[in-house]
Parts: sequence; C-alpha cells; structure tokens
Amino acid sequence: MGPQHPSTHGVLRLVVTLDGENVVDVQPDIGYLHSSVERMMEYRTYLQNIALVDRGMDYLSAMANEEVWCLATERLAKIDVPERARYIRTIMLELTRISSHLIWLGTFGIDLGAVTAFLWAMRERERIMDLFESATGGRLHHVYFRIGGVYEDLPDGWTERCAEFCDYFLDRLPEYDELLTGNPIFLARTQGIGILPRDKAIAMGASGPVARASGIAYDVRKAHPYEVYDRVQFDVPVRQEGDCFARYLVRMEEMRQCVRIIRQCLEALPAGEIRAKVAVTLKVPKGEVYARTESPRGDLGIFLVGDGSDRPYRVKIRAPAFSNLYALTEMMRGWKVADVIAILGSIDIVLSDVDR
Amino acid sequence: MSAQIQTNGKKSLAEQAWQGAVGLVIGLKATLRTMFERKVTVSYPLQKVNVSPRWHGLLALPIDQETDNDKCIICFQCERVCPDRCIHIEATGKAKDRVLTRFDIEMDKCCYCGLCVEVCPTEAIVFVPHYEASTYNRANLLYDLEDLHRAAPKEPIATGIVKVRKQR
Repeated sequence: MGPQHPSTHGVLRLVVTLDGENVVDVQPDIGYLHSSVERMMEYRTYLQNIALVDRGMDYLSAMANEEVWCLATERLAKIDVPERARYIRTIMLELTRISSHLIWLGTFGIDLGAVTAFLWAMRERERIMDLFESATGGRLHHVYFRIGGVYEDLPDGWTERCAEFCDYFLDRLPEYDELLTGNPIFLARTQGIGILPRDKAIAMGASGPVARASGIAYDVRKAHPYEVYDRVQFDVPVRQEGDCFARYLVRMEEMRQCVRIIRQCLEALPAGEIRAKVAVTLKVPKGEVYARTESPRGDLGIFLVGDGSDRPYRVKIRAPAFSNLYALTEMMRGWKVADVIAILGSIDIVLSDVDR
Repeated sequence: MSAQIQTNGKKSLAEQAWQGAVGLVIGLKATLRTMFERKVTVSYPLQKVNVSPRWHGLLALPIDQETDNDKCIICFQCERVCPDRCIHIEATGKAKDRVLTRFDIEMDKCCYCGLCVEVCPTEAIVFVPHYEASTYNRANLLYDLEDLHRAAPKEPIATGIVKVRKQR
C-alpha cells in the first residue's frame, strides 16, 4: 500500500502481508520525505535554525518545533525568558495543538468516509490561522519564537479575538460530537479496532495521545513542566481501551483542555518585556542538553551538543510520530484490511516528522 | 489470528438499525443547520481575503520619499542572516559614497522567515502584502533592485475583480 495511497497522509509505503482479508504483518517503509534536517542544522546558526525546524520537521505544528529548539538552546546558553514571552508562547503552543488536532480530526473523518467533518474542521482552523497570521505574519510557517522570547508583541486586540475564538470553538465542538461521536458507522469502524495494550505501548515508545488512549497517564507538560504549564490548571485525558475510538476521544478532550489553558493564560498575561537581549550570532557554550516538550503528536525532544561556536555541533531530534508509527505493526496485526486505514488515521502521523 | 469485532455485537439488528437512523438524523440536522448559516468561504480569485499588516508576503526595498532612494546602507546583515542565502548584494565606492549596484533576491529560494526584515537597522527591506507571485517562468522569480523598488510581483498570474472580505 502506498507510497501514493490517498489515505496515507503524505508519502508512506506500508508493506502489508495478508492472509485473505486478515493482516498478518505490516512493515512501514519510510524515508520518502527525508530531508536530513539534523545535518542541515549543523550548518546554520541558532537563529537560522528556527526557520528550518518550522518546515523541516512537523509542519502542521510549527510552533511546537520552534519551542523545543528554543528551549534546548536557552537551557544550554542559560538564557532567561521574560514572563510575558512565556505566557505568549504557551498560548501559541495550545493554539497549535488545537489546529493540529483539527487537521487530524478532519483527515480521520475523510479516511472513514465522513467528509463533512473535514470541511468543518478547516473552518475552525481558519480562525486559528487568522490569529496566527495577525500575530506572526505566517499561517503555517511562523518563525515567531526567538531564542530568549518571541519576535513581536501581540497586536492590539489580539487577546480579545483569541478569547472570542475560545468561546466560538467550545460552541462548535458539540457539533463534532453530533457528527462523529454518535455516528454508528464511525463507531463501528473505530470502537474496539486497533487495540494497543498498555504494556505494548510502553515497550514501543508510544507517546502523546496514542499512549494516553492506552491508559498511560503521561504528559510532558505535567511531568517536566516548561514555560508556564506548572502554573495553569488542566487535566490530562486518559482512556483505558487503547482502540481507535479511545484515541479519538483523548484528542477531543485535549482540545477542550487547550481552550482551558488558553483562557487561564489570557487572564494571567503579564505586561513587560517579550524578549531577552540575545545577539544575532549567538555563541552557545560547550555542552550537551536534552529538551523535551509535549507536541500535539507526543513527546518531542531535541538533544543538542554545543561546541562554543555559533552553530550546533550535533542535533538529534526525537520525533513522536516516528515512535508512534513504530507501534503501528502491533496495532494492525490481526485486523482486516479495511481497518488498516482507520488505524493509520488514528495515530496522527506527519511524514515530515517521521523522516525528518 | 483473527480479532473479534465487539461493536454492537450483543445488539439485535432492529436496535442497530434504529441507532443508525437516529445517528443519521442527528448528523443531517447539523448539516442542514450549517446549510443556512452564513458562508465562510470566498470564491478566490474573484474575491480575496485581506492579509494582516504583519503578513509575510513578498520582500521589497520601498523608495523613501525624502531621498528618492531606498534606505539601504549596505551593511550586508540581511545577506548574512538569510538561512537560504537567497539575498545577493554588491556595491561600489567606499565609506559614505557607496552605491548599491546589485540587490537580488531569489524569491524561489526564499522561505519567508523574515529574519532579514528583523536584522535590518534602517527598515530598508520590508514585507509587502502581495502574495500572488506565481509565474510561468522561473526566471521571473529573481527580483533585482528595480523589482524590489517597485514592490510588486513581477508577472502576477492571478488577476480579477478584487472584492475584499472584512477582516475578522
């Protein structure tokens, strides 16, 4: 199956071994989108790399990539981020999470034959893109975070518009419940399908919503708080079933929690500086650092080695989609061919993140 | 090895059919409601959406009215900071008599990151809200000094009646 199958979300080839209609084994064949980001990063300065991680990694959640890169550099260079910038970053990260989950929701619906959900998800996402555009200038490719803060302050009236969006979005979410959660066709194709047991999820290194749907109550935002996640109240949704429907429910609940975080941040948004003084050609001291964040897809980490120059010596990216894709074989074994699409859609992979 | 499908396993056929009908009605209700709501789409290219003032569009070196020239002081900072190395600057003369002889931006390489705009000390290089730069010829994407002064796309393909939607 693939690499150009309409439901593979990018270019992924799945070598599916079949016994009649039953799936005996699945081997994902990746590498079609490999762009050697890790190597390219060694040739760019720390500032230039922000523009690279945006599009070189997970392009549906660009801010999450900027965040993990800035976090790693700031930890290594020991730069303090002003309070206001931390809050702005948290708001942006949660908006990114909503927009990424909306894309997933839409494409998951399309995979299972519910086209309406895709168009509606795009409609909501457009509001987020407008918010991004007015604050950062870019819709997918923002280059908004800087080492030691953010580029520009929020424009006038942005916080009001963001609060307005939160209300609007919570109004719209029940529509998806009407459309998908109660839909018997959707239920029949997701409930009890593609079960990933808890122990297998741990063994395969699954993270993010995939792991949380298998009963692992682990979220980097709670376990290793960064930015202001230790100051805001939110719940980590966990389901025990481990099937496609559980992964769907976890993401739907996560979107509600995102709105909760954004509202708290907007309320507590302090005035003040948005950027620490950092040179354009920042020289980072010798040393190693590992920074991890909770991207919409899971545990996104960067291992960064600095050698005292203005370029990184080595960068290793731990991509959540890669590990989740690894668990795919475990999920698919024993199910029918028709379920392959549902299971593949439910793990929410971005091939750019898998191949890097 | 075959997996068991547990969904609706214990329910009778009539129950399943009833559930299906209810789900269908609920779904259709939502669809009907949306049908009569205000449309959120615009029919591009007849209608276009306003872009925000911070929009990362095409790059330009706008002419300053006072000096009748651009504000570039030939410091080469944008050329150096560009991650894609798509800006090429050449100049003649020394110190204050320096004259810009070449300022090319390869718009096909540009990733619209805005780092050049950020580092420019005199705000000489800026983003303009044009975004339809598609052409049929790749050579058209090399913007020289004259194009950058004009601050508009070289050969825009998309043209038509521009009806602008209210900015949300």
